[in-house]
Amino acid sequence: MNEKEQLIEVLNAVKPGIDYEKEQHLVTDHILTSFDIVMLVAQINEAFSIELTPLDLEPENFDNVEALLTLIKSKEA
Amino acid sequence: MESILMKIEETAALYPSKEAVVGEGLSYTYEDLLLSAKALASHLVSVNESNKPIALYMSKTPREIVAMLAVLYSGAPYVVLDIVSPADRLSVILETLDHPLVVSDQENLAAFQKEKAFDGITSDLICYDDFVKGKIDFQSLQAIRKDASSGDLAYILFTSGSTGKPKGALISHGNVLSYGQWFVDCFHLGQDSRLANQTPFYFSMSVSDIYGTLFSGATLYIIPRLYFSFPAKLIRYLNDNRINTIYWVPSVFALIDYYDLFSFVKPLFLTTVLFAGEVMANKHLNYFRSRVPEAHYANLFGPTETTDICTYYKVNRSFSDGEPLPIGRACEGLEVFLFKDGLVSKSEGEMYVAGPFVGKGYYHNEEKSSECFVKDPRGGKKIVYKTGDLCHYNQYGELMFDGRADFQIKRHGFRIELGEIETAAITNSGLMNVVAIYDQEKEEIVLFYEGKVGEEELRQTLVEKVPPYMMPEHIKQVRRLIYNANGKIDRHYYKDHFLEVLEKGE
Repeated sequence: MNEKEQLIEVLNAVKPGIDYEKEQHLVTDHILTSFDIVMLVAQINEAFSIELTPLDLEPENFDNVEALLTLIKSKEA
Repeated sequence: MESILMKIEETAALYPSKEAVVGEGLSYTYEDLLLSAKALASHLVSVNESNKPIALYMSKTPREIVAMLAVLYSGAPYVVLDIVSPADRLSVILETLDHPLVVSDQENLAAFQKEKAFDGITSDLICYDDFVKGKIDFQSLQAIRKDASSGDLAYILFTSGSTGKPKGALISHGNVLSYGQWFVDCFHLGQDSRLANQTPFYFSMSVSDIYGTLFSGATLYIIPRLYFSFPAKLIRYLNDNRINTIYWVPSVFALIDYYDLFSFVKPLFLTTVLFAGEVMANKHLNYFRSRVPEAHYANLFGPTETTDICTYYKVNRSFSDGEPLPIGRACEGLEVFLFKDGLVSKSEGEMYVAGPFVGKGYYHNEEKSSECFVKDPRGGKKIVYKTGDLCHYNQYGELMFDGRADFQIKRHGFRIELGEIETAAITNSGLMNVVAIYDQEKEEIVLFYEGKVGEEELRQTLVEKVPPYMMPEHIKQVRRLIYNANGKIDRHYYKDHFLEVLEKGE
């Protein structure tokens, strides 16, 4: 499983029923709530063995899968 | 003083060009706020039947506050609708209001018109933008003011009823005037106060933010909702706007504690930190107190039916993480007493409230009104509010909240407050939020929680904190708990659906 597939699996675990490949505005369209984001951050940290801090939590980093992948890669580096 | 507007006009006369409300890229001075409200009111007067409630279907921006004041200028009470609430719930509210006039804005008008559930349910739909810059009909507005009385309704606030049907609490101008002044005096609000509003305008806590501001010459900042998902932005927003006063629900404090946010970014100007709406866990409060020690903290308590608050506790000593926080004593000017087995009790009982913050019943709901707004059980004809909250006095004579009368259970002869189990669970730092419910049939306690801690570890935490007769039979981690329209955990949902949730884990 590549990182993208892994991320989509994590997203589906946090909130199922969303087409994460297509959706571009997860945050700006209020699809993910503050509670979803809390869970998402915890699960991303675990799945990718990284440590996202509150300072990494910016709306533009969470709006779609590509932005999230960029964020994860930057923390892995 | 008869009208909320008289009080705000007094403030506006002192600080006409000072910013009153700021948010979503808009800013209104006291003078602008009242002029815009009067312009919109001039149209409302010409189309609304006398004193009939007017509903607001608008985004949460300063313009919604203009619309509230406009409805007041037109002599009617307003009803703030939650625009993200399911259309079915809103249609129940609109039906209860019996074909009200609805004010919407350009942003939401089309959505309202498109919604089938709203067909034929309103008398007229008015676009805010079309009338807010119109001509002011001073004569009509003055005539309305001349007839104003402090008993006139200011707003109707719908709260979720235990039967699932929302009920509309009636709050008068007199209620808001006395409550708002108490809030200003108690927390020393003035022209240097800068408040940051978190709570929705259809939730009673926002009444304190809005009228506390407008009665004192302060400035109210409406925090963009998105910032509560990205809390570092929230703190930067507080700092950028030099916010010194906040009045938020405990869930936000929980979120800040969970992220250990203040290790990354700290609020710089906070002097007054107030909270209400749910039980505040000392664990979260201690996080705040240890990192922002210079601020004053107070726990406010009360139902929508007493305008917002009926008791308060200014935090004046240390508490351990697992200790409950007092709700203190009656607000000045109010009487709060505990009643048990037909008598006033000096130790414990159900809380009753008497005095000027007590509302006027529920809109078109005689049955619920007479159930909760009752004749003073101590004698006399005065109407008092029966809160349904169970309390006791601690050794300092402070009131302590024990739980809702409907959430107290009796098992194997033990009386148990489900809230006490929740308070014990929340001491575990891996926990976000928790709800305990009782399965009457099997006589079992079921605990649901969200957070990163495992079920077995949480069980250990509880074993150390609560007696065996309070131990839940089931401890179940869920992805996220379900919250009601006011952002509180939906206890009724869990009471009705716990079997499903146990099985599916959500």
